[in-house]
Amino acid sequence: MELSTVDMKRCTLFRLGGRIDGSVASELGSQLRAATDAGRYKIVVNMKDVTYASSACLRELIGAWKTCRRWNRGDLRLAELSPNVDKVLDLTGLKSQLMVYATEAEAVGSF
Amino acid sequence: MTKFRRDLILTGTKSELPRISRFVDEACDGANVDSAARFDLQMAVDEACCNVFEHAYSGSAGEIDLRFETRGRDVVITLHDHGRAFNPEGILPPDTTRPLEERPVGGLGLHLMRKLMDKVFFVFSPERGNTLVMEKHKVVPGDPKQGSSEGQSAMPSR
Repeated sequence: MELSTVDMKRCTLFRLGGRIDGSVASELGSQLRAATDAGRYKIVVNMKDVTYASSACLRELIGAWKTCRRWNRGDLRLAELSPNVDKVLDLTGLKSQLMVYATEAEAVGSF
Repeated sequence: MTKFRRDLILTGTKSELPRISRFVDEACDGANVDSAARFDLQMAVDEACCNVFEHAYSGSAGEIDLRFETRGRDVVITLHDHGRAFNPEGILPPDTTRPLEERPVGGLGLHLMRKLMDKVFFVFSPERGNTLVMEKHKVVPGDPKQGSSEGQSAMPSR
């Protein structure tokens, strides 16, 4: 898994890449928690380069989403889903529940 | 119709998931699985193995015995472990229509397996442990590329 973060004015941007399965998802969770622990509750996750995302990855994203949205303080939004990630979100009923944007710029600008 | 079979036996933890993914990828190549089905097989096996490492072995290292084979035009995956008995009836399917705030975070792995595969069933015996069988139908053409490789390529880990 590749992961980089950028603290922007509007939000914190996570750029993910590679394979995110159960062997590495906890690292993603740790990084998301580090952001919310630092008071960053507006998060964009760019998944353009994610080749595979398992339910373990989704669990970490959902966990962070719930934290961000608590008390209406923020949100976690997704950008640039690959077809396979899009399929998994659809199968799990998450696609209709999370804000998903075609481009990173749109996702960042939505905050 | 010639049959294709590959076996992977390893002892490990979730850190072995990438290796398992490569095994499935290579088996799909060998059996000439159609491209649309490959992702489904990859994901279903990954989810199943992750569940075994997390729940059957509670995160400790444990042995899994994974078989990928063709039966006619179908792919049949058999996953065997010696961990804690698993009862799928005890896992409620996620209600994907409920608002996400109200949904528990877990349970998606089994849900994905059932959505992606045509048949999923579990058997437990005190002697043999847990056996999971998953089938994906009509994803292999009439003659796999390496149909004469039945019974080969067991890859025990050290």
